[in-house]
Amino acid sequence: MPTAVQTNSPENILIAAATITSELSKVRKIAREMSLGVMNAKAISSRAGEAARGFQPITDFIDEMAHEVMQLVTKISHQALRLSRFAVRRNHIRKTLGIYQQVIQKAGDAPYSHSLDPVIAKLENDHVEYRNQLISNIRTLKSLLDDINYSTRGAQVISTTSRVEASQAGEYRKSLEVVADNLEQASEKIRLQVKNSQNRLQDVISSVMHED
Amino acid sequence: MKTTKIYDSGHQWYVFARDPEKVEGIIDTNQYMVKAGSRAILLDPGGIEVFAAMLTAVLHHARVDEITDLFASHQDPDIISSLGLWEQALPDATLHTPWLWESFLRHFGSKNIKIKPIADEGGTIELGEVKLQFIPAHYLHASGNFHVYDPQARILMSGDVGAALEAPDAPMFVDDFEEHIDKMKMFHQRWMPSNRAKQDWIQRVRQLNIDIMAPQHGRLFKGEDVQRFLDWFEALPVGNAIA
Repeated sequence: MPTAVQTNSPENILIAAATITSELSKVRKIAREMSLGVMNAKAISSRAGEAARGFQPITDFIDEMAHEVMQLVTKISHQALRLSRFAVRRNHIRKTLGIYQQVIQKAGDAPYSHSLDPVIAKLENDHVEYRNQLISNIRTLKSLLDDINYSTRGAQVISTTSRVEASQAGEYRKSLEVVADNLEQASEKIRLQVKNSQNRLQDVISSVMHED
Repeated sequence: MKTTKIYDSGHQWYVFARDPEKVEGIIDTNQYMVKAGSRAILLDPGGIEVFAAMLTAVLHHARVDEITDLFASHQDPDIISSLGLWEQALPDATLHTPWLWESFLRHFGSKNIKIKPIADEGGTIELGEVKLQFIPAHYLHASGNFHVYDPQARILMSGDVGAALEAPDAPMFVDDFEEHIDKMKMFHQRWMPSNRAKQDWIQRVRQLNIDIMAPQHGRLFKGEDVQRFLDWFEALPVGNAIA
């Protein structure tokens, strides 16, 4: 189970981004294994000939899904890196604003303290702007995770169809049933990994939305 | 942070130091500001930890938009790690620093500040009527290093040369040179790596008229103590970590 991110501290956003990247590297591995499994399934269905004719479009589907997932994982890794960089920049602006506010308090009646007013105003604007952009970056990441779920949601139906096709493949039945089982297990693992990542992101979004 | 005006005749020199709220465990630093009319330059403006106290002190003597220039004698964090913070207030300022460190200083959170690299042989900067000279002090201690000389005020800001490890409430000026030696000796022998560089610097600096020598740590030297320091430093073997 994922550990909930309790606060919106930049450290936690960085940890969330790094953890998502790490979790999704497992998804990439699963997708790669699926792709390799497809080659095996194609070889079996070719040997089975007419008895496994219905299996051809199924292997094509699995192959396509695996490649789509691997591409999405790459996109998500880049987006997570962008999110980390943004969290660092926003943290810098936030800390800087805090330090300048401290200076204004300390400066009291210093004759030139008002010369800092435009600096503070700009930092406050930047702070809001960076917060909005951070939320937008998080939402993009969440949307990419949803795309993985979308890509894999047909896997359950396909594994059922695979079993039906396998039952007509005579001596190759058992081998093709293994393909169906592997597809079902792989898609379930991907679904769980993506759900973990989505939960992490949801925690980050909630805390950023409720800050200040 | 304590502010001391060390020169005031047409233009002003300020030293900001002895911050009572300084975080424990960090070395005390002297930051300088030269103000000439409506322009000012901060010399070795300090680390992140002293930024708030330093800016607060500056606001008693100058508007932020009057600070047009910064100078970093070398790349150490106690000299200039506050760069990314200053940049927010001084988006149009120019940082003068040894060419050697230009790309290194960007690591201190600065993306936009204009950097004017100083060539190895030195250079000058004009602040209105005031002309300051960048005096080479390479290997004292950093491999690219400059001091700032004001011929009109006869002040040499001497970076780490003349520095001493002092109590946080130490006076601003050396009052007994012989007694002060103990506070400087280890610092110079260990931080300064090259006897040749030291002699080269002494030869150069002896040609300047100096009333005040103002290091980045510890007390300032004035009057005859400046020559006493040069004599003492000339005779001191440095780079002593090599057995």
